[in-house]
Amino acid sequence: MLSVRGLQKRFGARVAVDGVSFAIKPGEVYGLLGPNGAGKTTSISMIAGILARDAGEVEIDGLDIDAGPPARAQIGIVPQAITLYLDLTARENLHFWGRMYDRRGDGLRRAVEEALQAVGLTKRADDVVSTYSGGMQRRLNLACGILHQPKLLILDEPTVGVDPQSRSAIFELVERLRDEGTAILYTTHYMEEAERLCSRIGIIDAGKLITEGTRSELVADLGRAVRIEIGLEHDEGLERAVSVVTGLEGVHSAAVVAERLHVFADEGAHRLPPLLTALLNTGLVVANVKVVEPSLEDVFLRLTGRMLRD
Amino acid sequence: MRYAWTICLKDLRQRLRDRTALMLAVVVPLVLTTLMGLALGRSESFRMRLAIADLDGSELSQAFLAFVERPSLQGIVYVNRVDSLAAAEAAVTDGNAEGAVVLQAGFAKAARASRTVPVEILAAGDHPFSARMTEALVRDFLSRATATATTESARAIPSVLPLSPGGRLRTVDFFAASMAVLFLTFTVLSGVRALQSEIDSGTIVRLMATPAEPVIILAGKFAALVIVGLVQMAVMIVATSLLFGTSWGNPLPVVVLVGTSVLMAIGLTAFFMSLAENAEQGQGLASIVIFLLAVVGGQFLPPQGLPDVFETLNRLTPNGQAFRGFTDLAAAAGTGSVRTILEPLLVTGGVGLSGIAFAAVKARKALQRAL
Repeated sequence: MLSVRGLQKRFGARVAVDGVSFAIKPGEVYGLLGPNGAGKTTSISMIAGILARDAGEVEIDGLDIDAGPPARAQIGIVPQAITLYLDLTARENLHFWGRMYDRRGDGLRRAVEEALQAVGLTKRADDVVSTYSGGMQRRLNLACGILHQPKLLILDEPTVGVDPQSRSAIFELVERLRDEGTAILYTTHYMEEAERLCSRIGIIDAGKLITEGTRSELVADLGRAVRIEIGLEHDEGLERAVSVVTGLEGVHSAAVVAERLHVFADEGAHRLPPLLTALLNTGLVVANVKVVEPSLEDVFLRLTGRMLRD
Repeated sequence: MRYAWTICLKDLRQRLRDRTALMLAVVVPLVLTTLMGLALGRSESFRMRLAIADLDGSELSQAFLAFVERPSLQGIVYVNRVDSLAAAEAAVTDGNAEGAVVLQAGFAKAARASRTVPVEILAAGDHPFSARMTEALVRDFLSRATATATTESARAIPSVLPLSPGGRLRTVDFFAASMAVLFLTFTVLSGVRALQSEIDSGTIVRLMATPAEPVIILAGKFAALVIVGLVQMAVMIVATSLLFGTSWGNPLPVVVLVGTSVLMAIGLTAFFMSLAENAEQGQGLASIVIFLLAVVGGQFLPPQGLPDVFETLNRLTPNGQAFRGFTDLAAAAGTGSVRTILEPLLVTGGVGLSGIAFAAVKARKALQRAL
């Protein structure tokens, strides 16, 4: 459904996207993971035909994105920001976006009602959007993107700042659309979202797609590596601890996360004694230690040396 | 064009929902026109009898007589030809004329040589406005005569004072035109602010992801601004005509000037909006500038007794030009044409197009940053 090959974009001397390639099949949710500024939104903008690319090709359902309106009509986009008209009602917003995708008459009215129902806003459909909670606005933001039943749905961090109820509603809707055959490109920096929703995941950092695969494939690439979380008696020693453990045999990367030292190392249990010894030798007092099975977060940590939410 | 129309209708719906904007577009200007007309309406009507003594007998002095007796001043200025300075003085002192002009011998020679021209202007002491108008007529004629000596002969004659047809200068008519132009700019500003808000909020980027081409999106937005401006002007013109009996002049040039004035209002507000960081800041900046331009453009005070410098400043501001155009058309009554208001048309249209072009370039850069 979507084929992206060698996507490239520069802003002056800075390379924002550097040779990104991937594909999404119908009924597949592809997660594009990366920290802020990694190039996710720039990639999405080029895929959606909003931003001119410097190089590369984008095809949607066999149509080159440069074909313009016919290609863009196949895409539904849900931007990260709330892109709604707050002084209009939900129904008016949906009617407007539906018309912008050539929906008219009874078909449009039916699609609006279905979209309202899908995001649980039927009862508030005639209230102006400015009276909605943040979560409700997020759901409407999503509804405006799916109204015209696009073949490719692009969701750019759709759950930022939403309440658990709205988050759950968004997840359910994404899963339903996937089951109905929609190809979905889902960007996020929440690992748990990617693990739940995405059948394949691409990790992007500094404009490059550094790896991709299913969650199992990505975690399997870590081999027998584990994450070791270490709490210190005194937090001020954490940065020093990072430099102490970095470079020890078997240690891939280390970072401070939520006032704990996260060390990614091969054969974790065996690496513990030298790790703790090194810390103790430099006067750092260890308060507690936890060995954790690897996750996507660890994949990212290992590949980039940073946490996803840095 | 379906996309453009969809965007236009959506924008119009938003404007209609904005109660403040509606108040600003219609209610406030009408109330202000009434209040200011009542507060400053001492000189309710104007009709001037002018005695002219042509002691030069030249082609130029004859041209002056024709200039003063031209159709657009009929019913306002009543010319009484006299044959001497004494007769002119007598006409004024006896109360048979409010003002008098004596074109002394050598008038034409001096005018062509760009020397001080020998003209006597007499006015009744209890009619200061007549004195000012008489002087303005002479100055106006001389500037035209000097220009025609070196350039083309078909130069438009700028009128000096806002005179309504039928020889009556009514303060309420003055403020009808003035408030219409002032609040046209404010009304359009609220539309331009909404456009800037779309850039700030990202809805414009979402629009760009739809099948509509960027030029179509802009066309829809522009159409909504134009319609809002045109409707606001139409409401003001109809309402002041019905409520105050104001006549705006020949409809065709009035419509053309309304068009370029709307363009001017869009260009002016878009220019200042584009200089700001966001919609809030842009509205603040544009509001201040519009208010200052209105003061400089002479839209808050009727011309009686104001220094001549206001005449010059008025012509330097685009809103002042629009205002001048409307009052010129009103003064010319049914005889006004596009030619009568050539300068206001060129200035307002030029400012409008330049401002829109500048803002479009800035908006393009802002969008690239947003992506």
